Amino acid sequence: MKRADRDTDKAKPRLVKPNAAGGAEPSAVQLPRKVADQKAVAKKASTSEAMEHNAMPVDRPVGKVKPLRSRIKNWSVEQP
Amino acid sequence: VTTILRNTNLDTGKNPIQGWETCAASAGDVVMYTGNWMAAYSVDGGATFSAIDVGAVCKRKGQDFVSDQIVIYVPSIDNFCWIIQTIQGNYVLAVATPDEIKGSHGTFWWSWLIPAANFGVPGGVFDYPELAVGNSYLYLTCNISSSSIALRLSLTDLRSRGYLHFLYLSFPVLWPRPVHSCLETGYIVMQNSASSLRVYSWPETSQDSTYFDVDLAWTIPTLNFPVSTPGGDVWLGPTSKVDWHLYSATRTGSRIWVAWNGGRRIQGQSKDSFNFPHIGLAVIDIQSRKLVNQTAIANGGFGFAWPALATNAAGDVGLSFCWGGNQLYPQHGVGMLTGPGKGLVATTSGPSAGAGGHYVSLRPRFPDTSTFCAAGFNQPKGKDGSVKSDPHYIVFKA
Repeated sequence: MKRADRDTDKAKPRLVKPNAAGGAEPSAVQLPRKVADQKAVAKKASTSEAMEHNAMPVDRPVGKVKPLRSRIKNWSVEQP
Repeated sequence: VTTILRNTNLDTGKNPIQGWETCAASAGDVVMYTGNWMAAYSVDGGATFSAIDVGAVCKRKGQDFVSDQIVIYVPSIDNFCWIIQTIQGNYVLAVATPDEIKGSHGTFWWSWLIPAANFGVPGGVFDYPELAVGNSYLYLTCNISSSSIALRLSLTDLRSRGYLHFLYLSFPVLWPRPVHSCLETGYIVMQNSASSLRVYSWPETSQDSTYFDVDLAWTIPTLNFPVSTPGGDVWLGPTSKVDWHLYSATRTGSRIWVAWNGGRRIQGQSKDSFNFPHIGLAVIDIQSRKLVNQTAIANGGFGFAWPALATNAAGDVGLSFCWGGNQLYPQHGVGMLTGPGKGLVATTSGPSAGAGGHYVSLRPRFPDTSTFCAAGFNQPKGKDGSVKSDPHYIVFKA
């Protein structure tokens, strides 16, 4: 396949069907006015399992490497 | 230039609230603000905030709240939508109108449980949520273990507090982001690799979606993020969860702007491409399905990170972000990437051990959508070395 054909092919939209996953009923929630220490509540519930599903995956693909060739301008930040 | 109209530090006043991984949305005088281990509301336009019992919202659904939260205001149904991540790896979605928040002092909500087990990944748990709004649907993206989904939920069902049907797309990669201001078509953007993006297009009048791929002009520098600070701390170090995945996307006209964190060096290159970490930006035309531009928010003397994008009523793109390191303490800031107010402004100052994280947010502010509301945080460091997390609520305009 010629390069131009590959590029055209890549941009061509591919159809994807969605999945259904059931649903949920709502419920009304009346919260207390006096708010418990949320940090303590969350810490009490936290387990190593929670830490696990916040772990960062590694080794994602880099793809075909293309170096930066254009000049990037400097952005400044105004400090009021 | 960008004009700051309000900048409230929630960790001040009679009832100080600390928090990080921040998100905020506003409708008139009512503001919802979430962060790790906190949620708060304001009925005076963000001048003062009161805490909300997040744990109690989750308990009603048999869940325990843990961390990530996202909030967005949906003007077409006049509701705030609030996603809360639970220790069980599920999401609780809570909704309330601004009047309900005002009348109940933030205590009355309707809620639905979105169980991760429904989404085809055995033992899967949700993580890293984001919300965006189209004309008829609310879009939720998140990781589910080592894959990810985009779920769309009917705004009509949310407004009527009805049964919510879960219709979703699943992806073999992590970190998809829904596109803000997407209008009649839901768009979801993700990375095939550090050199290629994929854009899913999900018309609201159709069940089916399509996708196309866009090659980047230069590979995202995935290596070498950490930056030292004047206080001897390391910003964007290994415990910061800094990464090169997508953080935010927004639509303006026929273009989608996408933002990510970039490091100093492209993998496989022998030299750094940047002196310091930067924010990478791609602009994609959704009609031609081509990359229009790829650039970076960068400076040779300090770093940028943690971008959040949104579009205002004029179609200009705003940014909430963090910056600093090297000779400068890390801080939060806001600004405009296009239009007459193009430029960046700091919103925090002083000695700081860090700023930003996975959640730094930007939303159009209703009803005056020429303005934005942003949430961000820095981590002021005391003379005794103690570090706290100060969440800021910012309103600005071009």
